[in-house]
Amino acid sequence: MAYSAPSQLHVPLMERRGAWVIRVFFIIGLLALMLGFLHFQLSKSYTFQWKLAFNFLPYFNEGLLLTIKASLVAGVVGVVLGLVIALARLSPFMQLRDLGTLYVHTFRNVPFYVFVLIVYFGFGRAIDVRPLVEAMGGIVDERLFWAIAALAVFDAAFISEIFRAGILSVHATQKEAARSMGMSATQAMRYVILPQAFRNVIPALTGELIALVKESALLFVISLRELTLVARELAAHEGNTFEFYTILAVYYLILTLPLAGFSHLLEKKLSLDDRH
Amino acid sequence: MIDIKNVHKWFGSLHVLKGIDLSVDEGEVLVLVGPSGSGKSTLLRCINGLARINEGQVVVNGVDIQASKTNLNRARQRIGIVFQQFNLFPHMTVLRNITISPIKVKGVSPDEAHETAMRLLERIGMPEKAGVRPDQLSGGQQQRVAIARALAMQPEVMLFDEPTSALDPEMIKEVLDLMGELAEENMTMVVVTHEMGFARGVADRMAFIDGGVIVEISSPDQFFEPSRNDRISNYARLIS
Amino acid sequence: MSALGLQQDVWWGRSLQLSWRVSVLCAILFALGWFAYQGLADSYDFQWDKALRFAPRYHSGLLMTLQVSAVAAVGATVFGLLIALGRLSPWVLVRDLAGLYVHTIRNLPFIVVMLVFFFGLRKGVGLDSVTVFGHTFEAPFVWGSITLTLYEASYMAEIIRAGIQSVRSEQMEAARSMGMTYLQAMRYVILPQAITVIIPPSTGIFIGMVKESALLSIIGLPELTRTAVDLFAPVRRPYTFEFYLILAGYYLMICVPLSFLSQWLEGRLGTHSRIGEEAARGI
Repeated sequence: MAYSAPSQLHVPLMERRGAWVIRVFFIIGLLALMLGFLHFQLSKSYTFQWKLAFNFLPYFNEGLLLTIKASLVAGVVGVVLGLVIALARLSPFMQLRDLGTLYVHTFRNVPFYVFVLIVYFGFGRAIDVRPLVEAMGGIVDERLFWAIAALAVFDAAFISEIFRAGILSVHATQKEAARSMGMSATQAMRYVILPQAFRNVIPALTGELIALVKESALLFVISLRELTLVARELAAHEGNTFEFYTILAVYYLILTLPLAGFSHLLEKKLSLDDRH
Repeated sequence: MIDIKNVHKWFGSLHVLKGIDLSVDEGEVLVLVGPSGSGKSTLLRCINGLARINEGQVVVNGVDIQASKTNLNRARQRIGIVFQQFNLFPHMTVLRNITISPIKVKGVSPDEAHETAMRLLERIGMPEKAGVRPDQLSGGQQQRVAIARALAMQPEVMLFDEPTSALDPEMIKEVLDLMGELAEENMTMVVVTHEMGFARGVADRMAFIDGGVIVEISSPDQFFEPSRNDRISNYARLIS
Repeated sequence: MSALGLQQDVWWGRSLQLSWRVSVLCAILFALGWFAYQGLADSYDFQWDKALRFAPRYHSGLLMTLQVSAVAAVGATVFGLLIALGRLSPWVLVRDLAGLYVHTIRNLPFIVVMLVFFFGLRKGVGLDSVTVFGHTFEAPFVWGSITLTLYEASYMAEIIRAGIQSVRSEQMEAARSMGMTYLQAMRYVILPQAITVIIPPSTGIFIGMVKESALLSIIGLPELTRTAVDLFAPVRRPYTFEFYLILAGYYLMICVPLSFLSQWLEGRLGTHSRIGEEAARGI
């Protein structure tokens, strides 16, 4: 008997297979309506100059580049540092564990904004990193160096938590099996536990990357010319605050929404994989 | 009392109830039996509106349960249901479990509700448990409280969805005995169960459901006729 | 040896262990800190005596921080509850809208939302200061509270939603079967059970709010960070490091006890929520 797709006749309209198209259209339509209404109401007391604002997009793009650069580099450094701290927190040495815990708890209870101030206007003034920066061949300038340092050190605390949870989520039986085969603790960690842990933490790490991008917005205080500073400068200079800040928001959404969607997909895929 | 006419239900593309016709008279005890997945629980849940039907009609004491303009909350006040997993409210004491609906839904005064609740607790033999939380009761005790909770609303019909399936064997009897007492008091009951002994002793009629269709509906004697040899008697023998 | 004696021995043993551990840790930290400090002090002239004299002036800022966080906490809970109910609504389109709100806000930096609201919407809407019962709230406080509320509400909504979904659906069935309306069932049956699941991550959110409030200094709200920054501006640059460190110390003073509270609650009530973690970051 030929296979025919099960009839969708008795499924509620909005939950049928192709219905998502209708939903998307409806949401877009509703949003357009709401935003249009908002725009109309606001223009009574504020003159919008969108065309003028759009002229400045190239500046935004430069800022975007710097945001991406800072976030990615800080992300990589943060992952390495975070892994080290996670391993410290899981080590058999009590003091190492305590130091790690102290590190994490400190950075989780201080606003990043304040930390950036401490790093740049504190350490930045106290320590001269020019030789270090020159040694790196000029790919970063002093400001960017401190920016990335601040981001990496701060986020390493959260990344270490992610790694720690990921490592702990690997069943203890795996470690038992590895050790029973004669592997040392380090070998077990390296060949058996960490690879599995990495698989588990990827969705959370993507979420961490999103958080990094959001945190990079605060780097404007040290005059790093990333997205937010661009917007602030333009707004101060030209006076079209609303347009510029809205464009700023859209730029961030362009960065973060795909990452969020990717993370979501990854989570789904990984949980499906585990089903066998 | 209950009139079910030509009820069809689909779960997505799965046809789970295929044209059910059934009626239950006042004071009658109807027992629904059948293999897992036959649709018997679904059918029961259609009676108080927990499950929606796609075609047909379910009328309970003159109220069309599945019609969209019916005030389902009002109708549910007159239909009691007891679940397989008891579903007592864990954050409330036994007494509060029994009184909350009469007070908040029916608008009964707290004193009156309290009185009714204590009477019911005495009836089920647990008046001392009034201030106790459900997690401190055994399964059988919880289920009896669940029955008391349903009775507190003074329903016209009582529905039972496999009330003893989640109980340890030694506690099944106390629940079935209580249900038997209710039957003697002429309560209209629709019971989904695997307990053939109960069905044999208490039911006025039995309905065998398989694959979403009522295969047979007759008196318990006919059901358990020793000389029959068909799907139904095989099932009955398997379960007993 | 009596049973009581054994207990006492165990207690002594444990506290001795603990104090040994703490003292070794302190020694290490002290050594590290001393080295770091000496290194820094070579190129930076620390003047703690002068800086610490200003410390009490931070207190009005501290009060403002707590005020704005408290307002936002209440607002975010109420609004978050509404959005959570929207996310769970049987109408697909309401679900979609609520989902859109949550996903958009969570993927934006707080500062951007703040900028759009304060420098954009404020001019458009024309809401400046609010006077209630004779007490005037300035624009930064009004808009700061609104922004913080709306931002954190998206996190609260997810936590509340998770809490509600953690209550088994049979509870809702049982409640509805007795004739309760959806709202009655929510109020008497579902939400009381959901609260145990909701509270631990919510403390995380509150910590996040306190940290987030630091950004409100940019719109001129005289909270902790702004007070600190304003304090040394007239005094002279060289104190920045000390001032900022003291500032960090204040935040630690507020947030560390709160995070201990959060951990204790998680232990007692038993849940660990990723959403709570995210929100506790306070971006």
